[in-house]
Amino acid sequence: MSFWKAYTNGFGAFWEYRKTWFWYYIFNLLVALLIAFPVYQYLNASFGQTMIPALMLEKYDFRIVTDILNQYGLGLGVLLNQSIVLSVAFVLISALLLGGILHYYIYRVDFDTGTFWQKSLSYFWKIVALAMLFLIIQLILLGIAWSLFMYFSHGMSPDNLESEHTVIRALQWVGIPYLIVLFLIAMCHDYAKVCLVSNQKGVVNCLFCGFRFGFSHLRKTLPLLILNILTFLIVYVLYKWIDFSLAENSGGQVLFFFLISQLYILIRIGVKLWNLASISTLYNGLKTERIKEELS
Amino acid sequence: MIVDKQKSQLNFVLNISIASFGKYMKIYFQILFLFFMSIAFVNGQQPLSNRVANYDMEVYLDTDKKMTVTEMDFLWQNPSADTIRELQFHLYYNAFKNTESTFLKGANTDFGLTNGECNWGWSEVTKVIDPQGNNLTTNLEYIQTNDNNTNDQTVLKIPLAKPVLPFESLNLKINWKAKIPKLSIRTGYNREYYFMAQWFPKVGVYEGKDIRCADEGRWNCNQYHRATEYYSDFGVYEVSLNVPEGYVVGASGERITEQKEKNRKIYTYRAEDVIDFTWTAYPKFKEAKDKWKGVDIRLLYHPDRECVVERYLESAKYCFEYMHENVGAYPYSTLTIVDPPYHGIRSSGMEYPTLVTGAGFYCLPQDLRTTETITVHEMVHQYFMQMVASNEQEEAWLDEGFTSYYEGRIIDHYYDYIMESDWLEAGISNKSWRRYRYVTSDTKIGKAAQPGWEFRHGGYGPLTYGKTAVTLFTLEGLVGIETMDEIMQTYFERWKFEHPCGQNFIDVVSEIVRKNHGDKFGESMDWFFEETVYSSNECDYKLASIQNRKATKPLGFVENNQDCVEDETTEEEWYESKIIVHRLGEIKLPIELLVEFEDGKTELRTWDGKGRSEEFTFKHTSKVNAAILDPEFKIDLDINCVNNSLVLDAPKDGIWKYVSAWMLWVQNAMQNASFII
Repeated sequence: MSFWKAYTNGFGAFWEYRKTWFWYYIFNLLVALLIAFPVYQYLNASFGQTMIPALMLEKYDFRIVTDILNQYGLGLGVLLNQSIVLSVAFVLISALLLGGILHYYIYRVDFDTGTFWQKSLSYFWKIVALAMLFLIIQLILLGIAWSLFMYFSHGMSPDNLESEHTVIRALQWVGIPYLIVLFLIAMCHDYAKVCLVSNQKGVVNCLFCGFRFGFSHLRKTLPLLILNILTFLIVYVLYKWIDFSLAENSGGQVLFFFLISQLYILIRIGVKLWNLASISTLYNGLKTERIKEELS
Repeated sequence: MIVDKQKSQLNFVLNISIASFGKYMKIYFQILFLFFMSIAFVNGQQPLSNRVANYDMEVYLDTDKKMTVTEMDFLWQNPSADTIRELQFHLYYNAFKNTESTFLKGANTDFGLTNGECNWGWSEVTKVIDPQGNNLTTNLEYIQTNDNNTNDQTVLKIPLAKPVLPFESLNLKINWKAKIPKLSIRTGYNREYYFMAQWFPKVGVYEGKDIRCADEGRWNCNQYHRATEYYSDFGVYEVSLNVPEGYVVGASGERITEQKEKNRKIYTYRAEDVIDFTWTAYPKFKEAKDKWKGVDIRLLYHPDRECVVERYLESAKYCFEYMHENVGAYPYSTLTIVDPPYHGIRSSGMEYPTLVTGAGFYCLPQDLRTTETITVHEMVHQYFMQMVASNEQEEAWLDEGFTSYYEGRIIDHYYDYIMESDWLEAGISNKSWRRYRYVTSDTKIGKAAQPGWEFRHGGYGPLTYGKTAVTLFTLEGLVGIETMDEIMQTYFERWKFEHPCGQNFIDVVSEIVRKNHGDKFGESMDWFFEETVYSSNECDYKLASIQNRKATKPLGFVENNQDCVEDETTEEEWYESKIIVHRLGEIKLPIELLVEFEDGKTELRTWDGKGRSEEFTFKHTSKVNAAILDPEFKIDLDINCVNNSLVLDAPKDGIWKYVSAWMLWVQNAMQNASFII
């Protein structure tokens, strides 16, 4: 199976199970609303009866922002902490949903809500454990990259450098390879999740499976990765283009922009799931080809 | 004031002439003095200043030992009617001599000086000879003028064998050497880069009666403290810098000669009517030149910083243009801008006569106007503190505050913002950034107007820079931009090449405000500065409530002679509305109140702002819907503009705009975070 076929067939799988997309978006929206609503309440109680909302609508004014943060920063800080906690909760919800979603992308059976939640629950802890292992790997990679950067930039110390150009060069030399490796590991993480749902083996086995699959089929997995990244970038650039073209100086415009931004989040989640569907398709396809080869 | 100045100069010369009959040596020094004074006349110009402290130096830079060895011919004019029996000199390099200096103790850090023996710095005066041939070296004494820290050797007293009579001059031959400290703060060396600021024995200021509001004659020669460094007399500097060949040199004033000597080069610079002399040497400097109305602008920069050259030159020309139009003329022929290399970063953002240091970085985004802001700030210092030579050590608000005020005006005039982001669709003006620095600090920690070393636990930056700038913007808001410009122009013209104190500035403000506004702000403006820079008070006005009620005719038997007859006349509906405002802060300023009625009409009233609370009553055919204090944001000092208004029927769209943006940000952040799953 070619990476292009995986990409297009992946879209088919993604669309077939679009209910899962809907679930994912609804959870994202609900958590965001849980975060946003207290913020609205707090701001409204703080200065809702003043001219500040009208001035804020008119244009960005740093003087107003300064005074809001200065006077109400403490309360906003508490709400920010609450937002962080809820965001972490969403990450766990995401882990829960992924098991069920991958189950359908891999086995391509008819969608059933009860089965979806049952599969989601059954893979949850393994997916979390796998994520922890990859998080450790990513942290080690970050540590190595940071150490290399500090080594090449001589600790960024003015006492050790002739010019800050050295820092920029070190950033280029270390930063670009770091990003490439980071995305490759993230790609292997995705394949490891597919291995986990597909083979139902232990977490460590799946970790190796992910790396093995990702690197042994690099000529297909890498282009697919690039294609998925490009898809996201196209969506993002389109959204930013619309964002820059829109003004938000009236209630109607604010509402319109809100709807556009929600559409963007919906599509962004869709791209993420399309990515999972395409790699599941590639995994299945190559596995099937290998079995066929073995049989023949 | 200017007439007085000329009189004193005439007396000065006459006194010297009378006193000079007698001794041969005296004539010699008279001639030397006349030589210095006459140079300007030979050039067809009158001296701009009274030229009290004049230095002729031959400096040898030893790059191996990181030392300078200097022979100095020093000529000092007694500017007062007092007899002077001692001179006091700053020896700022001794701040880097030990960890117990007042400078390092006040800084709570050793700036890395303890990392190596070669990092320390010091100055040592090795020989002092007076005109009579007396060797004064043995009587030299370190004194502490601000504290009793005997480990601090930043002030040197030279007792004189023969006193200097009123308005007479004194010439001393002074030899001294200095170990250059590793560049830790403002001055020193790092690798091959040398930035030589506060590097020579610099005489303090003798403040005769009425000079800088002095009640009686006194030496003003403060120790070197962490936050402050400038206060000295005007004079002429002629300095020969002997450096290894290959070093590119920049310095205060004009380069007048350049000669080669074996493997070295000698550059001679001359700076007239300045309060200080600073220089730099670095073999890798590249040079860019430009011109503004006859002023040669020279930029020295590291070759990697080619990308910031245009930003420096453009902002420098903008600054010249703005200050020339709004304050006064720049009288010097040169301006050198030094962009320190990365390893010289600790000398960035400093101001010296006709030489400033900026801060440019490789690849610094255009939308982040750090380079422009710092260049403009340091250049404005050419006016406030270099020409209007107030005492930065004791009254930093008169220069850092004024400079921050003009930095705000200039940057916002030419660039709109100090930082902006199309991405975030936001920009931050310099004025609002200054205000941010002030209102988010501990605003009540002290007064803006106090000696730099008395800001014991923070507050120096936010108060001297921030609060003063915000105060000046508030003054501008109250009296109007035209009056403000006239104030600053008058202050500059009256006090350039003099030593004003804070009260001198306030007197100018009072005079101009009274001229343009009569009694509107009272007899004088002393109250304004007492409330603001001379106190730690805050300003905060609040619009407390809006009350509307339908106005009714008086009912009942208001008068006993009324008949009991039903009133059948119909009248138009009237509303009586009360607006209650509070003064939460201590600062009392006149403030405007704008009221908006439901029918769209508005009414503006002014409150003297003195009471703790005030009630305003309005009678109108419709209710008051909104009221705002200080609708044009004139009072920049108000630390909380959020409580300045109330609206009965307030639309919430503005809140929704930011909450939905926050929600979108959170949704994106959650998606990004789920990358780890």
